[in-house]
Amino acid sequence: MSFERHTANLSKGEVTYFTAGEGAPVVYLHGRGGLLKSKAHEILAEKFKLYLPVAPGFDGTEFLDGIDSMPALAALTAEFIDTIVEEPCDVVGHSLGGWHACWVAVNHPDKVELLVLAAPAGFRPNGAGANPSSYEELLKIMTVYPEKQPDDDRSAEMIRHNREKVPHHYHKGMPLDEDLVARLGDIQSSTLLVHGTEETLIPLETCRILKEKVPRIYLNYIYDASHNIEVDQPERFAALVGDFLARGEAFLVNPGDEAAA
Amino acid sequence: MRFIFFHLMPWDRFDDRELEWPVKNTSFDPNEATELYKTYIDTMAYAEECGWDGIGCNEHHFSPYGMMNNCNLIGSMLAQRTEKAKICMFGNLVPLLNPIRVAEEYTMLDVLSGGRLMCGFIRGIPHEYIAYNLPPSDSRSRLAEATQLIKKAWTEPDPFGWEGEHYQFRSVSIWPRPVQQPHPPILMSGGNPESARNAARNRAMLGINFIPTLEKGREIIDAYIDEARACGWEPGPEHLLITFHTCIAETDEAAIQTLQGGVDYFNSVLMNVQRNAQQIVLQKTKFYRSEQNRDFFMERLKKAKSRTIEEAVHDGTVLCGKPETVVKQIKRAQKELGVGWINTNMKIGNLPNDAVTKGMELFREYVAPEVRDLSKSPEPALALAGE
Repeated sequence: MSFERHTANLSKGEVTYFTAGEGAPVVYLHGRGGLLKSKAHEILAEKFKLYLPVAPGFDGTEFLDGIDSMPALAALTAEFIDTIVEEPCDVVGHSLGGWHACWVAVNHPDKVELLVLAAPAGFRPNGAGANPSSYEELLKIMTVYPEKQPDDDRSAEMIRHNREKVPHHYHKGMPLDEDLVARLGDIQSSTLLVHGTEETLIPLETCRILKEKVPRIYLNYIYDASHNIEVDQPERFAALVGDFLARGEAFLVNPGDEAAA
Repeated sequence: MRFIFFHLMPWDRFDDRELEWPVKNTSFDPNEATELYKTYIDTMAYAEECGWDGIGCNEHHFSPYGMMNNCNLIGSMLAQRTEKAKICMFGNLVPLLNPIRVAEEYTMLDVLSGGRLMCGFIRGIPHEYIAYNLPPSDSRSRLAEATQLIKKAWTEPDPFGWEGEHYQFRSVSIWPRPVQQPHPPILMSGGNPESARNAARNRAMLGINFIPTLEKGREIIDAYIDEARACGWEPGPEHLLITFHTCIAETDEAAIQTLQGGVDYFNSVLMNVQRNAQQIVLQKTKFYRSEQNRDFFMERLKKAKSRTIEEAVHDGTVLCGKPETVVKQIKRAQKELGVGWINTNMKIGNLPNDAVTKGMELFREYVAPEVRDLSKSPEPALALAGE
C-alpha cells in the first residue's frame, strides 16, 4: 500500500497531506504524535480513499498564521474538505484528532457525513485519566503491544517534538474543552466512539460525556487495545470502523451472507 | 468459616462400568430422572435449613457425571426455594457459551434471589470442548475475553459494542442489572498455579477442587496470593474456597464405608467415562499451556482414583467421619490453607440419598456450631466492592 504525498494550497497557507486507496472519501485526522501510517490505514484503504492531512506544526511542517486554536484548525480542515475532497465526507479522528474532528462536526456540519472518534482527547473532566510522569512512561501506557508499532520514516525526536510541543499551540493544555462540550448536541452526524479496553490515558468519563451529549452515538470497545488502538489491534479497529463507514447505523445489524453478496 | 452445599446431580444408577464418552442415553429413564431431580433439588433446598451458607451446582455435558447442562435452571429454582443462602453457580462454562447470555442469566439469578448470587467463571474440563465443538486451545483466551465482556455488560451504564478476538457484539445493554454492585462476586477455579494467578488478576475468588494433598493446595493458594499482591490487592480468607468430598455419619467406620461406595462409583463410572475424550484433548491440543500444568491435572486424577478413603483422610483432602472427626478435619484445612469457604460435595457417585440427608443433619447439630467462628469472613460482595 502506497501513501502519496501532496500539498494543499489553502487560504491560510500550505497543508501537507497523504492519500491512499480508492473509494468513498474519508478524512482521517491524526493524534498528537503526528501522522503514523498504520496497518489500520492500509486495511481501510482497500475500500475507501483516505485523505490524511498533517496538521500545521506536526511532522516538521510550519504553523500557519491564525491557525492557533481547535476551532481554527477545524475551519482549516473544513476548507481542506471543500478544496481537496470536493464533497462532504466521513471524518475519522484519533486522540487529538478526535477532538479536532468534533470541532469540524460542530462548526461545519455540512462537511461531515459519518463521524468516528477513536479515544478522543479534550473530554477529561478534572484531568481524569492517567497523567504519566515522563515521556517514557507515556509511551509505555499508550500501547499494549509496542512490538506491533509500524515502521515509521519520522525520527524519534520529531515524534517527541510533536507530542510535547505542538498540541499546546492549539488546545493550550486544557483537559476539558468546555466550549466544545456545550456544543456537542449540535453534532448531526451518526457517530462511532471507539475505546480500547486497556485504555488509561483517556478516561471512561470521556465516553460518558460523549454518550450523554452527542445525539446519535455508538460506543464500541476494542478488546485488548490501549490508547494507540490502531497499533494494538489494527484488524479489529479497521473491521469495526470500515463496517460503520460502509453501512452507517446499519452496522448494528449482522449482515450475514449479504456482506459477501 | 462459611459452607456451601454443592451438588453434582449425578445419574446414580448405572450397572455398566465399561462406558465410553459420550455415553449413549438409551439406559437413561426420563421418568426416573424426574424423580431424581426432585430429590436432588429438595436436598439442596434443605441445606439452608441445615445451616449451609450457600448452595451450589455446576455445568457438564454428555455424561452421567452431572445432569446439569445449564446449572442456572437449578439456580433459579433454588432462588425461589431459599431465603438467605447464596446461590452458587460454580459455574457456567463461560468459554463454551455466549457471554452475553451468561451475563443475562447470572443477572436474572442475582435479581431473582435478591442479590444472593455467587458466580463461577469456569473453563471446564477438557472433554466439554468436544461436546460444544470448540477448540480446546482457545479455552484460555475465550475465558479471558468473555470475563472482561461480561463484567463490562454488568457495569457499563450505556449501551456499548464489543470488537474482540472471539466475540463481536455491536450493541449490548442487558436487562435486568445486577442487585449486587458493581457486580456479583466471581469465582474462578484454580486447578493449578497458573489458573490461580489468572483468578487473582481478575480479582476473583479462588476455588480449588479435589487437591491431591494439602501441600499442593497451599502451592496454588500461594500463587494466587502472590499474584494478587503484584496486582495491588490483598486477598483474605473470604476469597479462598476449597471443595471436599464430604461424608458425615454416626461413626468414622460408617462414614468411610459409605463414602467408599460412592467414591468407587464416582471414579469407576462417572470419571471413567470421560477418560478417553480427556486424553485426546490433552494430548492433541494446547488445553494446558504447559506440560507441567497437564501433569498437575493428570496427577490429580490418578491420585484421586488410586487412593483409599483412609489415605485421603490422612492427607486431609476429604471430610469424612463422625462429627467430631469432621470438625478436626475442617480445623486442619482452615489452619493449613487459610480458607474462609468450604464447598462440601456430599452426593458422591451413587452414595445413598438418605445417607446424604443424615450427614446434613449431623452437620447442622454437631459440626456447624463448632466451626462457624473459625474464620470470620466478610461477605464476598463487600470484599470485592473496591474493584
